[in-house]
Amino acid sequence: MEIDNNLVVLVKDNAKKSAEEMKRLELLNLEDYFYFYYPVKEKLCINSLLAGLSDPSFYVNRGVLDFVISHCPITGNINTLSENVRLVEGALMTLHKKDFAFLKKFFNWTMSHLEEEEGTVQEDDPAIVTLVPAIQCLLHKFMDKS
Amino acid sequence: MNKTEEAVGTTYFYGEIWKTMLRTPRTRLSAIKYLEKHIPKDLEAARSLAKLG
Repeated sequence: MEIDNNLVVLVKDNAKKSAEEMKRLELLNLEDYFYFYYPVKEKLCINSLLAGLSDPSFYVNRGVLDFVISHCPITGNINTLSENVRLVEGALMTLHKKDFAFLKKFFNWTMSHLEEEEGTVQEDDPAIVTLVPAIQCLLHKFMDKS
Repeated sequence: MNKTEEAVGTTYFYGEIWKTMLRTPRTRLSAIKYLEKHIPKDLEAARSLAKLG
């Protein structure tokens, strides 16, 4: 605030403003990240990925899995459990196409975190926690249809 | 595309790309490739991108 010719003038302090912005940017949290890059995540983004997984084109299916592998690892905190289950269910529906590149990417996404030397897998492992409900949902759907 | 993002805002920009991917099958491949390339992979990458931009 400055006084100039008996007038009070508000002047932007750029140094202070940029320092405040930097502070705010450093505090960018997961909610902000979703707000900017995954708006309406559960309804829009996940449904878009599911649409990509059910697309007739192999390249789109593979592209979606590439995105999911790089941005939404199954062990990460980007997706909730229900979102991961929906994506796994969508991917399982696409396995019948017998695209080996897609199959390899699917296993890479769901199981790459498991060490080869490990004898037993924990019950709360993300792979098990997502695959089992997804397979159960698929079975229920097919049982209901028949 | 970067200028469009600056003009309309990041949320609306990416929201429209996600919508396009949902509604238009022909654009799905381009849309997912663009999203994969431009969305920061995690929170740290987003913070460093926000600091730069």
